[in-house]
Amino acid sequence: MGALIARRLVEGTVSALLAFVLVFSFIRMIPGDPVDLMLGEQAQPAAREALRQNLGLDRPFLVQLAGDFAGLVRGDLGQSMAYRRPVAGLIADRAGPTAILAAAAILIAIAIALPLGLASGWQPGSRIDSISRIIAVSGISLPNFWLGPLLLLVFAVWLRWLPIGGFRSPSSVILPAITLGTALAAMLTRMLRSGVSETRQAMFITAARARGVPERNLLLKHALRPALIPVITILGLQIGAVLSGAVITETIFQWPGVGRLLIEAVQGRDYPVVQGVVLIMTGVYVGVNTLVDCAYMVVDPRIDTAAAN
Amino acid sequence: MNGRGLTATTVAGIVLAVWAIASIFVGEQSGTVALDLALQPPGRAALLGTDPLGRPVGGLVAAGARTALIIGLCSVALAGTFGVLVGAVAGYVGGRVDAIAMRIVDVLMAFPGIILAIAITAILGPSLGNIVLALTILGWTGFARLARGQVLQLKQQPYVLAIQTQGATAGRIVTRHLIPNLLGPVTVQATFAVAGAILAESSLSFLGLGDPTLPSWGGLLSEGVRHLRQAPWLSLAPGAALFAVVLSLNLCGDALADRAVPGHH
Repeated sequence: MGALIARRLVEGTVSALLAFVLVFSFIRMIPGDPVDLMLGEQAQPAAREALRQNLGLDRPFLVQLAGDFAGLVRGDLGQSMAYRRPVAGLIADRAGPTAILAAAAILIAIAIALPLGLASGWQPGSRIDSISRIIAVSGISLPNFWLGPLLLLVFAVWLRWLPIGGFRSPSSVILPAITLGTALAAMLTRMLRSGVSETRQAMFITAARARGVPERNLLLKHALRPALIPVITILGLQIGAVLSGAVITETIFQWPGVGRLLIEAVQGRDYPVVQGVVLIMTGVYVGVNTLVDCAYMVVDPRIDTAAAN
Repeated sequence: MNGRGLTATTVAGIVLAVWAIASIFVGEQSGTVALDLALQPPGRAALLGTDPLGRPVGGLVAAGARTALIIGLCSVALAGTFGVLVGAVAGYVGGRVDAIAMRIVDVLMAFPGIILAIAITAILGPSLGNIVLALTILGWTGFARLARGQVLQLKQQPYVLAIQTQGATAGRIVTRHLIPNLLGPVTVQATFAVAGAILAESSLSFLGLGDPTLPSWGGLLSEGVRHLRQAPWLSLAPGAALFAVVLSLNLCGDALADRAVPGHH
């Protein structure tokens, strides 16, 4: 198992490194001269030269790559042109709100998916199963940039129960978290349903029922645990959807997070910030998935033997 | 589910066709800017209200359907063709080719969600061609993984071994005997992929990264957020259209999956 985990860690690191090279190449692939694009054609020659040096564009490609990589290792992601501050500091300032939003969205998703998925998987074909199926497929198809404005319209504009945007009070997080968490809730409900409906028929459930274990305990103590394992993997994979969904959600609700920083940087052609945010988001995504895979191997030893065969 | 899925497909098809045809007729009219008619609520002048430039929302939604359809179908056709070819060849040839191809897939899949598409359109500039390119780069990896997995199973089948002993070339085996046999799961994947591509295109336009010359549901929705208080109707129609199309495609994909992929739930 140790060897497998080590291999998974190496794979994750290699993917992250290659993604870094790709993102690094992107910014050099801007058609024309990136300095022209960023400063405009009328810029002073001195300003252009300064920017060229700041970005390291006067050096050969591989030297630039090595320099940026050395910077990355030190935690230096370059300088923002719009803010005239280190990119790493900018991202660190915005990471908190994004983490709060993502955590709240995941909590809401679990709170919706757990009862729905359990109830529908335990009684496939029942009315609650049909209802949860409709909710799940609608939730997956509902674009968050439509759900968000609709929630704003009802709860902020018409009912005036909740703030319309920004991050001032704890109640500001409710609407963005629902917007971001709905698709995830739908996905988790589906996974839980299929997991529970499969284990429901397992021999150990029949055996436990024969021993007189009450139905409620069968579901909550015996069937839930095996059904949770695929859910953890899906949660890991869905971190990607949560991160990119955060970009949209933060834009709708003017949430001061990393996603909005990315969009502002794209609009302001602040390429070092674009590069830094894409790198950090990719790193978080790869990191979480690698850890989930490793945790999975520890929790479920069958995976080890399956991979060894 | 099959009956419902079929209904959903038909509805989606009809709705899209009507929009696409309608957009040709209202195309000119919807492009006309009439500032004196700006932000009119739904009424006799415009059934779904007007946008900040006085154009009828109904016409813009119709024109947006055409954009969504073109980008969704083109990017999935490109991504599907390229991905299936790469995946099938990698799975059949194996060895170093397979390792390199799958490493590239892994790296592209390391980017969360549409972040890669955001980065590509930010760098290349927002235009129809670049959006299709970005969505193709984003989408082919799923097809490649699927095709590779299927080919790994198929190439052990007796019929493939039989053709091999008859001396068929690798190219012929892949294109004539393997790819036709994985079209079922590929069709299922393509249905979901069109829904995903339409959503991704709208997301990009919502974020201001769409082609500014083309009407788009995402662009209309971002306009809607800006005028949420004064003109809530801006947010309703384009979002409902997008939701209906994506929902129908997903239901259709589910129905196809039940049919084409045994054991799918």
